[in-house]
Amino acid sequence: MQVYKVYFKIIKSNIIQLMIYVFVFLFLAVILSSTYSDPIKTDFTSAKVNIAFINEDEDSILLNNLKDYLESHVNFIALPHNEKSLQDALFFRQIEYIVRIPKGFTKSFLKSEKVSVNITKVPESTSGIYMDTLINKYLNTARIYIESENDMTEKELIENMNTDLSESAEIVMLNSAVENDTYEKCAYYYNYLSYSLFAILILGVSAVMMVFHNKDLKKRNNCSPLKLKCMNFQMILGNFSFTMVTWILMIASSFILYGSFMFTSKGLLFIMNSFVFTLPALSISYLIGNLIKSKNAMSAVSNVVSLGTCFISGVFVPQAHLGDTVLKLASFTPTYWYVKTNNAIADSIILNTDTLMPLFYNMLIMVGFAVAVLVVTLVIIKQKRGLA
Amino acid sequence: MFWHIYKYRLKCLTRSRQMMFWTLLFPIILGTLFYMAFSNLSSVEAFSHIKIAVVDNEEFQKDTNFREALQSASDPDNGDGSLFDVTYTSKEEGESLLMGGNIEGIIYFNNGIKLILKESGLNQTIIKEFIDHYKQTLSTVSAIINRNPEAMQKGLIESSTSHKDFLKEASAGSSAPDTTVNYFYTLIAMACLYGSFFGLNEVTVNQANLSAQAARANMSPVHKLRVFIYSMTAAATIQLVNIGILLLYLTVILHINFGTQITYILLTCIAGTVTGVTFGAFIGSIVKGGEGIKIGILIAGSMTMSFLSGMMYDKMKYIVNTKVPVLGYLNPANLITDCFYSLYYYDTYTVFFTDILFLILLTAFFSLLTYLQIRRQKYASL
Amino acid sequence: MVISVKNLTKRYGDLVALDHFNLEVGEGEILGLLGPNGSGKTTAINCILSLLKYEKGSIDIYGKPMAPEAYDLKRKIGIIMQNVAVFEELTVYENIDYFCGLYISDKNKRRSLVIEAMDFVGLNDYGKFYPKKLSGGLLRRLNIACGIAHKPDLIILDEPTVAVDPQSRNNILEGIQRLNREGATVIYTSHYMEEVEQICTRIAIMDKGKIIATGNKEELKAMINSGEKITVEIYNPENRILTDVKNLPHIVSAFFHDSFLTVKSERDKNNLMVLIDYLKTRQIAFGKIYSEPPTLNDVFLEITGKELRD
Repeated sequence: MQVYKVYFKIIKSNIIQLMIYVFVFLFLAVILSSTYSDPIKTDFTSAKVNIAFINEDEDSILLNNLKDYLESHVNFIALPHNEKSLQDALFFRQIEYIVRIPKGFTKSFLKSEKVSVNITKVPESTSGIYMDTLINKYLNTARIYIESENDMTEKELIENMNTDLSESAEIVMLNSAVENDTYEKCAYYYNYLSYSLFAILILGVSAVMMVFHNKDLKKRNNCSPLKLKCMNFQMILGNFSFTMVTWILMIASSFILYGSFMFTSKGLLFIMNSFVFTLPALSISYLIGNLIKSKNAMSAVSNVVSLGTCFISGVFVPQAHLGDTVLKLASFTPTYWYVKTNNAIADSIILNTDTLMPLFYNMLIMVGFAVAVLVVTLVIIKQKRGLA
Repeated sequence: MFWHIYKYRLKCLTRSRQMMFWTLLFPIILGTLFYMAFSNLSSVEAFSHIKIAVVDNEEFQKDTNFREALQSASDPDNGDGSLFDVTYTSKEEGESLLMGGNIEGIIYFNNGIKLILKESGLNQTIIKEFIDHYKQTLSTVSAIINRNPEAMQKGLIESSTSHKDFLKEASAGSSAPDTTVNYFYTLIAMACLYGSFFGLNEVTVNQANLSAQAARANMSPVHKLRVFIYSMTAAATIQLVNIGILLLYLTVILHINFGTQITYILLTCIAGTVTGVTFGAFIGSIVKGGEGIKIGILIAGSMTMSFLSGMMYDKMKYIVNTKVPVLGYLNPANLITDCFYSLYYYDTYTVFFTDILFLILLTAFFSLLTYLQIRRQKYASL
Repeated sequence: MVISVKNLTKRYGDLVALDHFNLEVGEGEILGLLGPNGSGKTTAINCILSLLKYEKGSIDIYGKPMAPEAYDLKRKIGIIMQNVAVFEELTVYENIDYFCGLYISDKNKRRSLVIEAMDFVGLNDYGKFYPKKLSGGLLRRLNIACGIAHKPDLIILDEPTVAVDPQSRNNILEGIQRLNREGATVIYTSHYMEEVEQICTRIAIMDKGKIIATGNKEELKAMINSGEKITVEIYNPENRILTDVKNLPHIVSAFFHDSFLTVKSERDKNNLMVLIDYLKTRQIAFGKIYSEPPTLNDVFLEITGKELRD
């Protein structure tokens, strides 16, 4: 088992570089578990938009009531009233909408004079349209009263309006299944896992390959009494052991973060899916290990391949937000199918043959990737040997 | 002498494949990935017609007012008022559309208007708001008639069905607040900081205790600082060209919006490049230890700084700048990002020039400390 | 005097690397600085070149004090460091041209100097090669070419032959002698006594940061008592033989090392015949016999009590 031992010696000498990825992943995993903590409620809740409300007019009853009305539809974010902090907040979506009531608005409005509220929004955004609707609705309701009745006091107006505005549609929620956000979080965890796992496998496997492909060493090995078959067997064993250790290390913290959930059928599906993913990841790493020649190239390739596949396959940005062309391109990587399966596991409400079959089909595609890449690698190795 | 050293340093640095990869190719690849991943992101936020189903039954047919309101809310010619893409179905058909995710809600008349939903969300809230609005207007009209029956004759119907727009939109800044551009700005900032590899390299080849080449160069009759400054000029030149190529790639090929003030954009690139290169020299000269450790510090440092300026999570920049503004001013990546951001988004230049000033201060700080280390000509050990 | 070093003292923490080191090198000499690893040869060179700080002592080159700013002195010096000091990213030609360019600005003059240097070390066919493609020996030759292209008057070589194949080693040693014939003064450090014996006009032996002996090789060998060294393979080593041999005339010492008897004679005395006669008459069976004149190693051994090489 000489070769096998050497394999892990080489891994050990690269341990710092490999551990960086483990820590990056754990960092992301911890961050993830602290966000997305709102459980998904089964009854209907109105979406709330973050806005800044700046009143340059007097504290009129009309405007205070507008604020009270908006209260149930928006979150008021307190910001310094200077241009820059409002602009910044809008850019980074701390707020999505700015309402600015100009001076003298109430007086002119009550006299039916032409007035307007100044607003700033994220152009073309849904939240912008929603806010437009809300404010216009409030002011239009007031307008109708003012246009029709000249003798109404501001107070009367408000009372009437509030009665009207309390009218609301009856909501029937169709979906009664209790949803748990653990699914969602766990899917994120497992999606991110693909990044670190891929990077570690490429680095580790190619580091070992590079040592064994070193010309002088290769000659010496070829001269040793060890049979080529036996050596290859030990290499394969080494690759698999390394992959298994990495995989176990990566999934271990999911048991800590999500506890007993990991033993439910969904949790086990996540684990199974990640295991299937290690196969094409290993075989691609093996291909890369056979192609590259220098340590510098190694870190370059591992970075580009792991980051690249994750970006286009929906690890960092959800698949639903990616363009069609990008997704089509991504479907040529195993990561895409892996992420797709994770998302499907999280989304599925009930698990039966109908919902499980597509998942297994995706996993089969990953295995297909593994086999195809392995075949290509073996052909390359054979050709290289022919040349040497 | 300047040209001799400058020319050979250019040759050395451009031929170093590893450095050229990290300073030029890697940012371009990352930029492409950002582009692929984010190109659709702003459309996620953008409003598109909400798909709904209406159960076409007797009660619905009777409610002419609602039908008219719905008609106008789903009329594509209605500009901003156009909200919905309506399908008329049976209840069962509608429910299967809803479960399949083809529509977002069903309007169903059954002893009053009901809204059937599967989940909560902004689009669902808008559908609800539409129905609320309809019911509220009815309530208003009946309230007015109750108080004043003649109102009907005085144009109440007209008044209640006409919709007046009370809003006047002011744009947020000189360009749309498109969050994704910030990712590309941080990318340039990261690339600038990666220029530190060049700076580090120049220190290594000029300090006799760091490399054999340096010992040889130190023995030549040219002042050490002169050799160093000429070498740094070469490093900055290459990095500036790299940043220029990256900028061209982002603007011409990927069509990322950088605003139009080319002079100021170039000024930012120059300031960022010089800061990055001197940052590398600074780390190279003050940190004791092998080259591996120094490169590790540079990578970890650039990545942390890029993270804090929003490269992995766009809101990070906002959080830092509002909660710990000092950190923002000390972080060169944030300053570079902020330069581009303010050129893109603000109408004024105060922020831009403040950022540039801080970049210059940081450069001066890095250069001074590097100088204090480099000016030593004799070493305690080699 | 080309170089005059007086009482040079250098410490690394508690370790005294140079302990009142004194050295004088005259015009036209090839001075060999010989000493085991860690004896302070490289430290001495780096101090002389003003690369290292030192606690005490004075260093004059061509009669002027050496300092980092002594550019007129630096112009006359060529150095070849122990570690190969070339740029991976530059070709053989470019490397030589770069370093030469730090001394000579005139492009045309420089071109002929670079070509001459490449000729000199036998790298003319490798001008466009990158250092990575060169073998260890060729790389060392490039290292030398970079140090001498500007035709320095004083050349300092610090172990230029470490890990070099015999062919390149000969090329290098011959080259040094040629440079010397062309008028350069050479300082050459090494822990290979054969090399030093072969090319140096004067040798300084170093140990523990001090020069312990100087002179040409004959002078050095004349300093010690022992002369010829005879080694005989004896199949049945017995203590009786040792006592008998020690009683033979002109014997300085005799000892067994496994089955090899080593006998050292007094200087200028020949004991080989006497020894063989003794073995014959006692009918002691013996195998191989070697007879060697004293080496610098013997000189070192006698002065310090230890071997030159570990």
